Amino acid sequence: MAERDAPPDEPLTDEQLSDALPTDAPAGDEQVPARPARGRARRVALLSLRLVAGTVSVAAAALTIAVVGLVPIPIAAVVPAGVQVVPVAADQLRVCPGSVLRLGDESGENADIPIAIGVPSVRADAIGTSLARESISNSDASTGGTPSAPQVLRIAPGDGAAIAGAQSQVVDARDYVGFAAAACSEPSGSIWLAGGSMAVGRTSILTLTNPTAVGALVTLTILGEKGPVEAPGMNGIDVPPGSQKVVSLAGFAPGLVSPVIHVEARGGQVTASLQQSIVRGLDAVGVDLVDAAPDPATYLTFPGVRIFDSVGTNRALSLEDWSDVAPIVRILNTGAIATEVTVSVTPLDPAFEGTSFPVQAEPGTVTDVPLDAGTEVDSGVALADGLYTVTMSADQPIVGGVRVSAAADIGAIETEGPVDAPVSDLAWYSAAPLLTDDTLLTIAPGPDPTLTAVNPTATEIAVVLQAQGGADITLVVPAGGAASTPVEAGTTYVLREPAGLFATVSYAADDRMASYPVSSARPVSGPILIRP
Amino acid sequence: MQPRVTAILVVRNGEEWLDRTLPALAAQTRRPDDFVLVDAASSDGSAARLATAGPTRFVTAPALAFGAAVNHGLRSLAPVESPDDWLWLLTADTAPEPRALERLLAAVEVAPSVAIAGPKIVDPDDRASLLSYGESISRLGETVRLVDGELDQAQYDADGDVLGVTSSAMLVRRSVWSHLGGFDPGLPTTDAGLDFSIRTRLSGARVVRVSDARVSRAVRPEDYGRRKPASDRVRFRLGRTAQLHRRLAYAPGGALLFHWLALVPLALLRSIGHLLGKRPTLIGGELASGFAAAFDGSVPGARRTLKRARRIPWSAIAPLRVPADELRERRAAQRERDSGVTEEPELVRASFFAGGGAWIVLVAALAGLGVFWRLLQTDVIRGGALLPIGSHVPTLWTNLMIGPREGAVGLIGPADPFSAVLAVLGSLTAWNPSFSLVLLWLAALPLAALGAWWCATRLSERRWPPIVAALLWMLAPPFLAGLSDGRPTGVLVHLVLPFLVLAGIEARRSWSAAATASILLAIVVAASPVLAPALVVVVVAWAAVNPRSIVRVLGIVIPAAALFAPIVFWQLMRGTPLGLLADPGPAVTSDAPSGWLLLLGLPSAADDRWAGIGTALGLPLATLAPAVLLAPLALVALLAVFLPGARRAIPALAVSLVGLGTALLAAHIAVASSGAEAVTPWIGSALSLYWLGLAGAAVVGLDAVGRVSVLIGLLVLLTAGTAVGPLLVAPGLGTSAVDAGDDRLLPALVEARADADPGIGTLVLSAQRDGSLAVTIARDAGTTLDETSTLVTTRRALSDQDSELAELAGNLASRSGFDPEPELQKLRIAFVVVPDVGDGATGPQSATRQRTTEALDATAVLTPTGKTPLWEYGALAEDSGTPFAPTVIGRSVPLAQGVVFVVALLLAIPTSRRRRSVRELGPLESDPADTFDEDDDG
Repeated sequence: MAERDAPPDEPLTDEQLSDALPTDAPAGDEQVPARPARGRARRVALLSLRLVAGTVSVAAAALTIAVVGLVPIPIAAVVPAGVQVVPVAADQLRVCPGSVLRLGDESGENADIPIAIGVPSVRADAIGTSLARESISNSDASTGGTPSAPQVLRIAPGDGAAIAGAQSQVVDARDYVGFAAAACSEPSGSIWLAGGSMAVGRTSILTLTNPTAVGALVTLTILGEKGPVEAPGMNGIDVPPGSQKVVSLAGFAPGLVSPVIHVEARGGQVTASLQQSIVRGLDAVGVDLVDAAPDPATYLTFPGVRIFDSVGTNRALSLEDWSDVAPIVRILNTGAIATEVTVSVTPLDPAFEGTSFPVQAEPGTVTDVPLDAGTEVDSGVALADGLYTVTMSADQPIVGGVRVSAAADIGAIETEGPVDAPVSDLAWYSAAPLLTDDTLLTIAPGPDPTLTAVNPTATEIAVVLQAQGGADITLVVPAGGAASTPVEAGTTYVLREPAGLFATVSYAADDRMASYPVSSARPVSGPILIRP
Repeated sequence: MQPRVTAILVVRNGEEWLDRTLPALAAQTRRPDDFVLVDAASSDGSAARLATAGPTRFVTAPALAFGAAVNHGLRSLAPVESPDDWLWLLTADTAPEPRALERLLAAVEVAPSVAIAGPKIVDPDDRASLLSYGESISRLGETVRLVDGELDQAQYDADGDVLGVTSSAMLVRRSVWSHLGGFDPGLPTTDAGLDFSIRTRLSGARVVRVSDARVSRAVRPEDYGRRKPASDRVRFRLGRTAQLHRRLAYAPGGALLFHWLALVPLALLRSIGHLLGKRPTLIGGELASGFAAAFDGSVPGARRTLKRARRIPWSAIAPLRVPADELRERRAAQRERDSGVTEEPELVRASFFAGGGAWIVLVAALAGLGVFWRLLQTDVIRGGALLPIGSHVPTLWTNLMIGPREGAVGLIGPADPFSAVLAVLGSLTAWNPSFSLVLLWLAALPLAALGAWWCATRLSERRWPPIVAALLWMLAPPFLAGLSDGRPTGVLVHLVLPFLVLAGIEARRSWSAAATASILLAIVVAASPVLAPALVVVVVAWAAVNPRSIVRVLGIVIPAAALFAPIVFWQLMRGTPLGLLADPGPAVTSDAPSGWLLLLGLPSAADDRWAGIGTALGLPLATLAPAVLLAPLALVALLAVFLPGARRAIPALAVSLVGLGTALLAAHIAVASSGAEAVTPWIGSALSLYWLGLAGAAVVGLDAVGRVSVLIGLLVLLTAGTAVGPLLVAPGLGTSAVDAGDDRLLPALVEARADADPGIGTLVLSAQRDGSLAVTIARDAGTTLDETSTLVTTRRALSDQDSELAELAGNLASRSGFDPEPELQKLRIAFVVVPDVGDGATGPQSATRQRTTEALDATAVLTPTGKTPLWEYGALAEDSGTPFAPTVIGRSVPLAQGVVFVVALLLAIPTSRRRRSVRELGPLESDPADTFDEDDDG
């Protein structure tokens, strides 16, 4: 306090002086010459400061570049939310194609009007739940609501519930004589049909049935030996809910010999069935229903292709307009580039000889090749009677079919005069789909029903055919081989654990050839991950 | 009869002045006849000092106001009521000159009508400086100090009669004092003397000022009893409160109600005036005084006292009021004096036309037209994250309320801050809000050039560096990438940043600039929330180096904070705080860039167009082209730290580092999701900040190198221009994501039905790359840009409603036995659309889409329409429910945000008169920029 209050004019002590001034800087005028020296020092200090700051900055920049450029940093990302939704199971549907149709009446008039011929015998069964069966209510063939109409089989969803049905029909009408059998199939948005012919005397009728509650807009793609067919009216064919549409393929592609048809439905799903009938000259000799083929694949299996009465058939070949009783394979290459298809024909009976041959398939083009193309035809009969497994393999996805015919032996043909046509029938085999799970199978009535199973896997598969009211059958299918068993017409079997097999039911008699593939129920829509 | 004078000295914590005041009183040539010392509860040593003051009456009073303390002291006196009894009112700090009392008395003795005499109040340190010499009021009752801090040149000596005098050292007839009840208790400090004088005048007596009596005063009357002088804010509040009190006290009875009702509205109006006048600190006092006056209990007493005392009408004293024109003149003179004191040296900067700015903007405008010629014919720009803006302008604004957010069922929350930006943008082109984005794109290049040029003139006085800066900013890789990839947020940030820097630098000394910066900051952060941390760091650092304007600089963040407060609250409550960093708008993925690309300023691997050119030409080394071409820029920027001006270059590079760090972080946190994809924020905006620092440092460097700067600048421009060349021309060649488009988000059929039946929803099922299916509901004609919400894109957990929606979508996408009708009705879905997956679709993606379309085709209640993947649900019932009504909070939150922005806007509007600078300038180089403290080593 006293120090602070000291008057300012009191002289400073020496000690205070030396505190106040730098010891080496004399007071007074001598300070003036010192200034440039201090300025120099300051400049040097500033320069070095700048250098240091700059160097530090450059180093920091280099470090930054190195860190950003070189150091990997893990990404911390949110996991987008999602819910696995298991769809509610829907009713299972099967549609049986309905009776064989004719174009025009018996007198040959009204040739553009489809008319049903008779009533097919339909066998249907369900396990695990009760079966509802009704005729489609509306048909171009005016069969709506009658037993001649396509039959819709329906079951409610349930654990272990399964449904199956099949139909067959013996037809004996003017221009339509023969035997046809078909499985009742699941509706789909995309159906391939490999079969039929529109050559002279051959009639192919496509039926489209929409059993759903949604109208379907169907687009047809017809491919033939010369590629895709362009014709008006193939787009936007309206198939209203619960109705059957009948389409004569001759209207789109008259004279086409080797059609393969792709049916695409938008809106409701449909079933499609192709009916082929043959009139040779004046003789109606053959009716068949072509079942849906599986989607294009690089490997197709046709189990149990039945060669029947090969001697009679061979003999009938020489008759006028009978050339197409010979068995053929039909191949469509759906890929974008040409491919070589290897067709192999393997008899079930090891005593017989099989054959294998390549077929060149151009993209979008259908090729028909005789089934015995690989055999040397000198003894007359290339393939002996019996069951054969036909497989096709290619690099490109293909669709295929196999046609076989039978004709009664009319003996040696006299060269003179007309010959009575033999009884005959044809059958189109569709490639069998892979069986995945326990499968219900109904055997339609018919001559000598036989189930043939092919096992392409490397392990033997024993499948039990559990009869619904009848004797069970156990069929052992060797690895890489095939096996067949007679089955009871009109009986429904549950195929237990058939996964890995391909199977077909076939019928054979001189005048009654038919087949249909065995299909597992298509998988219901699987669960789907939804991200709201 | 000899007058009798009682001096009353009121002391409240005035110890420091008593040493001067007491001797001054003792030295009076005319000693007061009575001397009353009133200690108004001083807490310092005043009481002790007074006790030793000699022959006086010493009165201890509670802590009273001056007037009340005087009355308290009077009680100790005999109630002698002679007309020649005078009171001399003194405070601790009023030290009269020796002859003061004598001269005051001399003045009153010759004029019996005088009841009050006031001396000249002078500065104790400079006796020639007049602090107060008479007071008056304007026509509106505002206090007018007739003299306020002027040099005494005897200019006022001639005129003695005044309306009032200040309370300091006032000599007042004691009878008048008693009759009028002394000072108004409602006016404890300010205007106490004036009000008393007015009442005296109204009672018929005169008030004079005495030119040869001087009293020095250390503190203003407002500071009576205060330890520290009151701040301007407090003085304003006290003055305004006193004025309002007087207004209510003086008002005729009929007008009283009107005045009372007008108090609060007037306070609000005047607050707006303060904002426009850049005096935001006064608003608190304005409102406080308004409310204080509204509940002022002393008004009735004051009115009674006045009524009792008044003998002559108000009109009689009207000539003593200050007329309006004189008031105007006084104010102008005052402004002149103020600006003379506070005016900072006018900034010298290159002029827009002569400095080349205009040419650069013109060149940029032509370049913009050339690059975006495809947009010249269109109303809508599409691609990337660009969507149309809703076409109904009022809806743009009502969507800002807290309400249902489109894209998620039942999600109620605040709108994205960016929606407010879009509302403003859309309102600019109200006839077609989407068109504003087209204009933004067309004007982007010239706007970028203008902003950068303007900003660079703060860093460099030369002509050339700002031009380089303008072109560098226009050619910034993140900017061109944003323009080419369709990122409106990134483009907006890039355009606003230079203006933000400019305003932010000025913010330290200008309210207007601070408010402008605050609005620009809110726009930047709203457009790119990922920049928020970086910008807050920069603002805080800037505040730290400007401690004197720390409040003003930190205040820059207020509007942005207000804008983000609701969504911050929502995201925190939901437990997704990182979601705050998500970009507004649709969540759009970009190809993650490598660290090297980040260094080159490229926000997406797709923007590395040199790599594509290299691949096409078979020159793998072309990948290195941008790195080589941008090297000169980096070198100049780094060179700047070695040159004079490093104090500006180093902060610029620090900003650059902050920007790069933000970009690096943002590139590695995916906070939003779109379907199955996690989406990172658009890092272009962070890279704009990076580029800002680089360009700034380069400008400083160019500024420092002198004449070579033209050459170096040209080199930098040429190389940088080549580096971004492919990116620049991409929109013109049609190889970029953005292009002219239409405003159709959903098929026309949906639009048509939505017109007729507003509120219908469209279920959008998009197959994802991983085979999952994303589902959203678009209302009406589709989700427009302003309707998108980060609350939707950053959801992490699914609500029950989401699960229900998933159930519906999952079954619609499957052949199932599910009955979708109840759910479709509940969600009011009229359409289902399955967008195309495009060329790059994965196998599972195509399969999922196929499955979905097939299943929808097979759904009986849905009707496929035409060829587009669109299904209609025809059986949708008419809307029966009541539409969503925002809650009170939902309405008031955006309203409150709006108020914040209006305040900022009012504050930002430049209103101060610019003084014309007429001085001739030398060569531009000779005057250093004053943006930063000039380097003394320059």
